Amino acid sequence: MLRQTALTCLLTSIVALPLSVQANAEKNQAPSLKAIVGHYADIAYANYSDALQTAQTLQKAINQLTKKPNEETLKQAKQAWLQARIPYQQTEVFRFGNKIVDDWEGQVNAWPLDEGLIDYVDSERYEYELGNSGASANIIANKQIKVGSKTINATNITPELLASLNELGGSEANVATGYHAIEFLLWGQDLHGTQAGAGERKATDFMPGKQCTNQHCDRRVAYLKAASELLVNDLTDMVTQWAPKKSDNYRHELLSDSPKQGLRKMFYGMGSLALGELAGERMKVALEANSTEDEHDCFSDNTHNSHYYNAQGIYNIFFGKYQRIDGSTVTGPSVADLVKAKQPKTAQQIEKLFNTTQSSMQTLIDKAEKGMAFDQMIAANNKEGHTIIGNAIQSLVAQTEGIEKAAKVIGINNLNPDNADHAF
Amino acid sequence: MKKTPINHFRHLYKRCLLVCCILVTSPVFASLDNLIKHVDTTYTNLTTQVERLHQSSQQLCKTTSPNQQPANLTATQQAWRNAMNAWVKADLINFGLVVDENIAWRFQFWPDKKNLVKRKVEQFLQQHSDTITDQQLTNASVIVQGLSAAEYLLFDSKTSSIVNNKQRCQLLVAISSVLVQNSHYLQKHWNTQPLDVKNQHDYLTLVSNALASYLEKTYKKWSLAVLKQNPYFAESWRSQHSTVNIQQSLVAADTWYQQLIEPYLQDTKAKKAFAKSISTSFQQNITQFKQLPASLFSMLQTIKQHEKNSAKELLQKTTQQFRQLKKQITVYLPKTLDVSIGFNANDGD
Repeated sequence: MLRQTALTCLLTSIVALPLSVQANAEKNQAPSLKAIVGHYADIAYANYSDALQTAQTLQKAINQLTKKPNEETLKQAKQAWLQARIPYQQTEVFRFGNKIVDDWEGQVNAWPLDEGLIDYVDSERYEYELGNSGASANIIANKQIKVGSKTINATNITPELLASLNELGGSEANVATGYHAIEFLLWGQDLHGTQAGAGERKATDFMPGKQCTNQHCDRRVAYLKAASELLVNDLTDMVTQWAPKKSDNYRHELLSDSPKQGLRKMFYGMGSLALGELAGERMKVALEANSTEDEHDCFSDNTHNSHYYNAQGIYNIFFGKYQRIDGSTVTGPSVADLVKAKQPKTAQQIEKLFNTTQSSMQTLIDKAEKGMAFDQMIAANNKEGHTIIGNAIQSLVAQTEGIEKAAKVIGINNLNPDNADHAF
Repeated sequence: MKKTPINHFRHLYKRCLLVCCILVTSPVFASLDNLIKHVDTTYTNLTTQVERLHQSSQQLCKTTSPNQQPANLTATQQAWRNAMNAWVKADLINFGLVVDENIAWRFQFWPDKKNLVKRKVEQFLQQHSDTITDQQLTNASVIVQGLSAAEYLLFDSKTSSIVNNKQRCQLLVAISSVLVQNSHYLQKHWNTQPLDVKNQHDYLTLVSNALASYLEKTYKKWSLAVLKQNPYFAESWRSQHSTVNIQQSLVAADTWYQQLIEPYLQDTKAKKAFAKSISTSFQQNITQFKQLPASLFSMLQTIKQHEKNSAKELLQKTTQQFRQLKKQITVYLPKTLDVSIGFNANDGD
């Protein structure tokens, strides 16, 4: 009886399954894997182009600040930095999975950093990485940088010099370039801990002659200009890598590879950013340890926005939509469309998970804008703040499970695109 | 109900599912039972070791006789090492209650690149100068609650000794008491919520993901210090117990593999050969770690100061061998078992 039933089952499956698949396919037009990966590259190109454009605006604002240093030009530069973070944070979803981005990223957005490498700090409230011999090198104050037995000539502060000082002495905390180095130069150390308030650098730190505060203003100005120039150069390079109609860039390589591998990279990027990086490194560590040292945009207290736009980046890729800084929208075939065509109910469930994340991230932003910044939320006794961050973490964990489920529906079993040895 | 063709199909599908369930799920009960026993034993051992640490800490802090103090400190340091060995083994159970309620960090905080353990412990001591209670500790940062903070109190050579220091002693006793509570809690409740395992595939997905994630984490613990050549990135640099931690982790991973996964690699010649290659890799790695000098911290300091090539080569060989094992477990084993490895906390930076 058992054998007979099993045989009938098998026959039924053979007859019934193709019929049901065909019926579903007729209901929802499933995009091809190739089209989805192609649109992924389109979003990357648009997103990096926006990041470049806002970085160029930041560079102009910094040039204004260095020409006419005053509180107003400093405020304008800070505002430009905050605007530049909006598209950039969304691009972080391209980092994991695309080795070319991950290898390039260290010079652009490395974090956390030992800021004593760059400029003066309050030594009593400065905690640096254990064993980092460059943690107090202070490039701005010193024309000769001594690390261990090596001496580096830092007389002329150029983009090339700063790039060469990254990971000085082998420590990842030695970050001389990128968004966070510029953030530190604009805001200064946040000495408020888990209390209200961000860094309070004064415009006089960039003034010439006797008006200069904290010494070496000329070198501080040179540093800020070199760092912003390098940021623009780096983003220009990344835009080129994703530009269409080129035969020698990364986009061409990605689209020439199998579409399944492209999808795998997309999934790996979404899952790694959502769980290990955003929910884990950037939120859970800071929350559980009540540690402001582990806050992402710690000098400017812009962490809530950085996290929000990280999550937005994941949303963009899953749903194939990206809103550009000029307000226009890039839309096209997506993972969500494909899952919907294959399993509409599962697609609905996953969409709910993404919406929950968006809503929990919105709560984080709303609270921060009402005066409770991320570093205040993580204070040991702030139950309300803990709940807000805890909900955001939980929603990202659930969303990651949704991403895994989507991969399964599409037939992507191995989620890691780099079988060689993922040093992501 | 009228027997229309559609209803007939539905009926057959239901029977089909039932049969499939019976056929597929029966052997999994035995495996699941093994898994449950394994987890029970691991948590029981953890509880035993942290209870011993707690008793030893109480003894150390009661002692007033100067003659007894060095011996009691040594005994408590040894109890800490034993508790750490038990914890690194329990850390393989990276699913269920310990994850849902975020309990792992209450046992150990790692990595600690910016010396947060020292900062948070000293801050806590400043804020609680009178008495220290378990309640105060459980409300504080996870960093001050676990074995990492206990290690700082027991082994840090640059701060005042715990011997004869009533306040530091109180904190150590409270830490070990909270560790006992957390361990008891895990032991008693980890299985309250049944595991979501309906068939063999679910079972293999669970145990393979746990092992893959654990091996990735253990490799990260090793490579962070070794590849960066930073002695302070070694997992337990204050107690110089880092190499033993890795060795114990490999033993735990090997046991997990032998008991819970290897039986599923016996149905073809190719699978058997693959199973054997994993066992060989585990043994080679365990032997290699046993042969290393006891202190990774000292080794890395020596390399940094004197560019000692022999030590460098030894660490390179160890790392390479370890990386191969990790690849077998995280890439080839899931492929052979036809399971998918999901995202985990090791992804990202």
